[in-house]
Order: sequence, then C-alpha cells, then structure tokens
Amino acid sequence: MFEAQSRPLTASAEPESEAVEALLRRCAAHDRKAFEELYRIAAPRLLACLLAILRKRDLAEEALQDVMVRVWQRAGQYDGYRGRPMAWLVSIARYHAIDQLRSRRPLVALDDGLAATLDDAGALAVIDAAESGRTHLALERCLGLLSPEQRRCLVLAYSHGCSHEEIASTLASPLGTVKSWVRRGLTALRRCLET
Amino acid sequence: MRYMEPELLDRLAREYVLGTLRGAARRRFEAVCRDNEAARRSVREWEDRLVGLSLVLEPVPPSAAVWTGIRRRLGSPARGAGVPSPVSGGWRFAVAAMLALAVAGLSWMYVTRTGDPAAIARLAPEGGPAIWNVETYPDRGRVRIVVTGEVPVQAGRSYELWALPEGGAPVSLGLMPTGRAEMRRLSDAQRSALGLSRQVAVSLEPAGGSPTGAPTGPVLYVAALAT
Repeated sequence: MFEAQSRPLTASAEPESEAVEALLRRCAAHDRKAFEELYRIAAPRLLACLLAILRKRDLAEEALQDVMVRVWQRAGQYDGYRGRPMAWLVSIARYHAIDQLRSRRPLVALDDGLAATLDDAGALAVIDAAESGRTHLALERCLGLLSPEQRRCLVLAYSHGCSHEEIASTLASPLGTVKSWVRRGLTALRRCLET
Repeated sequence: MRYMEPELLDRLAREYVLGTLRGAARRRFEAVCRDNEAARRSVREWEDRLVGLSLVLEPVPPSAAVWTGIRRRLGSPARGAGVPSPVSGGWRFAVAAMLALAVAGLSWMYVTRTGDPAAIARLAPEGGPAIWNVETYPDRGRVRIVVTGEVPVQAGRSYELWALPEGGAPVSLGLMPTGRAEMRRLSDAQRSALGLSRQVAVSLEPAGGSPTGAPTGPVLYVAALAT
C-alpha cells in the first residue's frame, strides 16, 4: 500500500535555501547541532521522497538513516555554487531509494486515488512563494504545457520511482509509447524552462 | 574513457535523474560521471529542473527511532531530536548540567561496582603496544573502550569497532574514541552479536563511520576477547 500522499492543490515552500546551505556548511565543519537542525528541516521531506519510491515505511525509514549518514559524511562535497541545497539532498535520497529498489520492491500497483491525482494538473502545482519560487513556478507552467500522458510519466518516474515497464503497466500503454512520452516530455520541459 | 557526444550524455543524464536509467546502465553512467565534468554538470542541471516535482509529496515526519539510529551510527551518545524540549533557556542548561552530573555519577558508580570486565580485547598493531582496550560487560550490555596508546591520525577518516559473531556478518559497535575512555551501552542486536564473538576488529572508515553498515575500509586490527 502507498503510505505517501500526493498533495492536492498546494505545496509548501521549499525550506529556505540559504538557511539549509548554511547548515550544510556547518555540517561540513563537523557541527553536530547544525546536523540536528538540518535533520529537523529536511528529514520529513526526504522521507516523503523515500516513501513514495520504496512504498514501505520500515524500508523508507531505514533508507532515511543511510541518507542522513551520507549527508553528514558528504556535506563537505556540497558545492555551494549550485545554490539549491534541497536539490542536492533530494537527489541523494532519490538515488539511494532507486538503488534499493532493484531487489526489494515488490510489484505494488498504484492505487486508484493516487493514479487519479496524476491527472489533476493541480497536483503538480508546485507553488512556491519563497526565493526558489521562480524556478518552481516555471516548472509548474511548463508541466502544464505537456500532454497529460507525458506529465503522468514524469511524475510516476521521478516521484514514485517507476521504471518504464511499471509506467507502461500502470498506464496500460505499450512500452515503446511510454518511452517516447518520457523522452518528449523531458525535451519539451527543458525547452520550456530555457525560454 | 571513450568520447561521448554531448547529446548522448545529456540523454543519459536526464534518464539517470528521472530514475528510468536502471541496472548496469545506471552503474556505467555513474562511472562516467566520476571523471567526466560535462556529465556531472548535465546531471546537476536536470536535478535542478526536476526537483520541484518532489514538492508534490506531503512531508512525512520520521519516527523517533530514525534519529536514534543515525546518532548511533555516527558514534555519539543518543540524544533527543525533533522533539522540542519543554524546558527552555537557562533552566534547560541547568537541567542538562544536572543530568550530566547524575549520569557521570552513575557511570562512575557503575564502573567502580562492576569490577572486572568479562573479557578484554587488546587492539594493537603487529608487534606493537596496544592502542585500545575493549572491555566487555555483557551482563549489563555495555562495552568500555580505553585508549591505551597513540591513535594514528587519519585525516577525514574514522576508526570503527566491529563484533565478529561466529557464522555471521560483522556488527558495528560504533566508532573508536581517540581521546578519553568511553563506556557504551549496546543495543540488543549488538549485545547478541558480541555474545557470539570471540574476536573484535577495527576498520578504517570514512569520517562518521561505514556508510553501509558493514566494514568498507581496511581492517586494521583484530583481537581476541580474552576472558
């Protein structure tokens, strides 16, 4: 069963980038208090990512431990110029979860409720009033330009860790078609974000 | 590394970030990224483009056990996190200080009352003096680690202690102290692993300890638990 919930119409602001970045710098200097604070801010969001991909609470929490230990160890490798610390943190979490998937995820079908939210452009309203808002508003706008199929493919793959095969079975569409939706969706997304 | 066209690189990067690049292809691309700056840049750009998709998920507060586990793996005493203390300000400090004193006092009573440890392992380089003594107090589920020699400095690395249960995988007992002696409480899993061990080992790990839960670096010292 899915324990992760898609949020319907609103999305809370990304934790303030500057604050998270400052905490990462202090973690790089082995500041345990900063790590604790970072955990408080980032862990719920990272757990949401892990849970959406791993789909079992115990696996996701175990993975969260691995991820946070890695964050502590690699904080010195965070390149400040990226200015997007959540992208860095979310990537560490997502890649770890995807690596865990290979052997561990039983084939669990998406439940109807979740699949339905994928149709709703509102589910993708990644509205962000914070300083990171510009990019997310742009992402929302650009996702809106994709076909519903392309959009669903990207969300299933990115947020739920679905392989091409799993997307094909979820959307009851041929594998080749799914691959082409993914490819065209990403291409269109980039073109739109660059304008 | 063979030359890769920018377009192919970008196609792999976006499928990597999206998560649809799987298995051996995923591993191969990670290897490419290790020494290809263009590949890494492409990955970063796609991460930034797509991270907003993670915000459609409702944050999920982790259970308290997650933080406890993290602290244990980083080799520090467990302490509460995520739960704001009802005590604040000066009181908080005073209470913490009193607790610390109480704990120190209890530890001292404990050390002086338990007498001899059940077993001692002396971890030493071949032919050299011991660097650490690991003393086990299995009845109480504790180990005490005493620094008895000079700990070789390894910048950016940590020494990690492992129980070596017979017929099982090594189980971490936390990081080795480099200064003062430490008395450490064991989890049930650590306790039972140590109960099945005739030896303990120390490996060299990335700072903060093994990222995998198993030894990843060279095993530097192994010692028998002598009773």
